[in-house]
Amino acid sequence: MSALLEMPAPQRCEMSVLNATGDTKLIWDPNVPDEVENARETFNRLRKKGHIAYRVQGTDKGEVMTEFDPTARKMILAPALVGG
Amino acid sequence: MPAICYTNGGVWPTWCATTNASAIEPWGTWVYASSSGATTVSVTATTVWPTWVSSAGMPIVPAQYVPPTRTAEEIAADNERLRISNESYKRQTEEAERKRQEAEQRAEELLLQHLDKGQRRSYRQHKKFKVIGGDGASFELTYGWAGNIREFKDDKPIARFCIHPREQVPIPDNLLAQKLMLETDPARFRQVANRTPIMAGGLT
Repeated sequence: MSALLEMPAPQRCEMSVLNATGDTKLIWDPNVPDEVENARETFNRLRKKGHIAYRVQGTDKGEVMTEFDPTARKMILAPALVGG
Repeated sequence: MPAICYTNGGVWPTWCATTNASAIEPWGTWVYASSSGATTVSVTATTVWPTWVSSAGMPIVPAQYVPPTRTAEEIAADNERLRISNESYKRQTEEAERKRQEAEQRAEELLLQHLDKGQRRSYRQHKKFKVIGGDGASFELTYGWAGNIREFKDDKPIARFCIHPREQVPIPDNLLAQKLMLETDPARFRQVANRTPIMAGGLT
């Protein structure tokens, strides 16, 4: 008999948007629809503007995100990079 | 009152150089039309105002500059306005610097959260750290905005890259964005960044 473990969704997810102030953090509870929707709208708006979204976890290598994941614990949105 | 006739209407539009005056001496040449035809007067720039030539031979009266006199109260009021303006400027400058330092510190905290132990140590000591790109290539990121990334091969630098966010962010944010792109999408990094090869001896 195998036990199926279900990990509960994290209670606190965070999006750090890099900007002139350092970064602006947007925090949401994945179990609260309004907060999720707000985070999704911000994610999509910034992506449309050219920002690159990364799912990050500590010092591990990040992963590019093309779709909003409401359960992603931590993500970083960086402005588009251009050649200097 | 003697009449002074000008071509092209108006005093200031008729302030032009004659054919015998160079283009850089417009002030020195006052052209007027008289009943006998156009006549040019060449004057030096220092004698423009005193040389007020009329068609009827009006006497020339050199203008004398008389500075306005100010009372002690007026001088004190001006000095006070200047003092207030300087203080306001100083406050604004200090506030801008405070915000800049806050942003820098905030960005550095975020960067350090995403560096491993060795990278953190290297950054704290030398303001640079090494990154292994997603394609296995070795890079060194140095604190800076542009041209701050070098690629290494066999421990030798082979190229310098220039790439940064489209909008201004604190330098540590720039480093974090560069690191994330190098690790996750090196092909895009190479496509976007300006690359300058480094020749043997470190010359670029």
